Amino acid sequence: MTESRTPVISVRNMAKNYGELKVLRKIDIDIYKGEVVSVIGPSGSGKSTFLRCLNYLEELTSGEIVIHDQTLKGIDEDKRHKKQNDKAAREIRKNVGMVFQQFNLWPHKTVLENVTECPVQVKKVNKEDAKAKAMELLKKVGMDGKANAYPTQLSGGQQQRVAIARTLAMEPEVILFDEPTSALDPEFVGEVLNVMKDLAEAGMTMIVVTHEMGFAAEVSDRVCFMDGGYVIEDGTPEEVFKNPKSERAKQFFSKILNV
Amino acid sequence: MENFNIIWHYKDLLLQGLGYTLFVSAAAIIIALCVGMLLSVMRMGGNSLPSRIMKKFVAVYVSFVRGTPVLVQIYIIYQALAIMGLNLSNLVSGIIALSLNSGGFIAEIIRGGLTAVPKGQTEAARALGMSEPKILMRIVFPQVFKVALPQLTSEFINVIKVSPMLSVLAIVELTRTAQRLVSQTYINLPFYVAIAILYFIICAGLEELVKLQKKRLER
Amino acid sequence: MSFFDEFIHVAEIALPLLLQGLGATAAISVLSIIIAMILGSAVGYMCLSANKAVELIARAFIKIFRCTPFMVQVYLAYYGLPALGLNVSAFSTGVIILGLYTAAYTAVILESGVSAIPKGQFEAAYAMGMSRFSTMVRIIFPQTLKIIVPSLTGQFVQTVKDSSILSIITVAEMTMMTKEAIGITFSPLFVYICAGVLYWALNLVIEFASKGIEKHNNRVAI
Repeated sequence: MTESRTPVISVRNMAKNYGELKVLRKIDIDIYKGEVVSVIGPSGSGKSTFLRCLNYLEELTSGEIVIHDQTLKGIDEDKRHKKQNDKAAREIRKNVGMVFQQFNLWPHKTVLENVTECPVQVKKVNKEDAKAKAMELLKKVGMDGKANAYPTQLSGGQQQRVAIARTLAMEPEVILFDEPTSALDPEFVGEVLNVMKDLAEAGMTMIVVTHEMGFAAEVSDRVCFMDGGYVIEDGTPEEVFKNPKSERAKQFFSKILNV
Repeated sequence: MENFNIIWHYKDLLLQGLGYTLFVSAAAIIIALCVGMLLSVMRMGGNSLPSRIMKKFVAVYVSFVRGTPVLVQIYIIYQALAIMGLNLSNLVSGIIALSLNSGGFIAEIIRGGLTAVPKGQTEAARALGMSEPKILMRIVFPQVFKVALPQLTSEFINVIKVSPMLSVLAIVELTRTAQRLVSQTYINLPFYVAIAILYFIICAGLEELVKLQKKRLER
Repeated sequence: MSFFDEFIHVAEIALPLLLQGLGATAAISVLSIIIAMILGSAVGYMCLSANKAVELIARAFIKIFRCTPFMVQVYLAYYGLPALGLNVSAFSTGVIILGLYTAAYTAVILESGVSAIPKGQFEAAYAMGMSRFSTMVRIIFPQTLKIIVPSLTGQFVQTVKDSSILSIITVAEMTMMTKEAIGITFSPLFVYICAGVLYWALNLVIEFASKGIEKHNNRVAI
């Protein structure tokens, strides 16, 4: 790859426990600008938790995450990290957007209001500019016709496209996708994947937790296979899908590909 | 400290007042349970004219009880009982007023509880030849009270919190006791603080009981 | 005079006085509810705080007001506020204490409403860089408000009813005015029935309005 070799996101030694349960054991990974990384693996492998740690929706137990100059640190090492993490998270979230499995659009606001809310409230963009920008983004995801609808009046695929526009409105450097198509009826999966594909082609840095192997193989630059709280495979789609090194990855692929 | 001594001096009177409060509340909630059950039974009828009239009556009764202040209800019952020529003591009138009030709320609690008893329960009892009143008293209501126990305990707390209003009928429960001591001693605040603490202990204690009952139900 | 005629006669004399009282009852209730909404939101927000000390203060406030009879609270305010150097009118005392009391219940209703909002709603706001405070005020509370309309109305009906207790500290609300009307008509039962019906009507209006709001909310999204 040709980008400069300073990573946008750098994860060192990260672990995450829920009480006794060890969800993430030891994660080390660097994500570079413009990369599209698909994170795959069986359910319970920790891939969603990994993603949620990156913008501090989950506290990490130990290790650290560096995004720009901001560092999130494990709270078990030092309780004082909690306060610093809160501060760092506020900066990180300005650069790292997130798209959720359940869309999480705000039901009391229209599509347009969902998209303009944070630019106006967080970034203090003036309302008119935010509106113009939002309409542009909605057009990009093909939802400009529904700007004044409420989220509950939309299909799942439409809601997810709005959610992507909402995230884009904050002009993030990286977008995290947490199983963005898992809650959709099959007929709506394609439209969301297409929007994501356009983003990838435009050079957006993306980390996508997904069960869509087609998307992972076709669109991503890099595929990470997670299991049992570790990243077991990490390489190009070619490498990971065709020649997995580990037994567990082989088993996983044989299961899902034979279905 | 001086204030504390004064309250301590009257502790027997205050505790006696508390005893009255608990007695009045307990008596009221027991009668209210009967009133609530009666209202529920009246609501159970089918589509015949008398049944519909009874249902309407219960609806209006419950709406009135819930839509007007207890204080006004106490005055109305007291005056109505007097006009009817029943020579009842204030204590009895007060208990009746509280029961009729609380009974309306209990009817609503029972309404909620009834939905938790499967239809099969009544049908099984009927198939076994039980009479309708027996089915209600032995099969349906026991199950209703089991699931509604936390709400019924909460209702008891409400009755205790409403009971100070009986002081307007000169019933010497806890609040009336304090009022009297205030007018005797010309010291006001300490007595009201003292009875507030007593009420708090009882009500907060019962709230813990409610939590316990809820937990037991969840298991 | 027949029973009915007597009732009409009493009502004719009592109603003007009672309606005057009803105005005061409505004013007290509205003012108390406004205090309760503001203070109750603050206390409810404190209950959800990550800071344990802040939460404890809020919970203590709620517990104290919910576990003592309102009538006793009224006496405490009546004698306590002057002792604190606040020499306010009986009317203001009544509004203050009824506002505080209602705030405790409002806080609990709000808290339970917030707990019904899906976690993803918070997460989406946090992930977009919103602060805790704006998340609550702009995203969570507006949704909560729609859910809690029925319980909130129930509480407001309760507030109207509880305002009757302020008659013991001579606030000239409706229950106080019944005494005046009885002094003229010497017919306590009929006057009290009139007062009861007026309270009932007021509360039915509140419930009716609430049903309207609910219907409106159901039509507009969610």
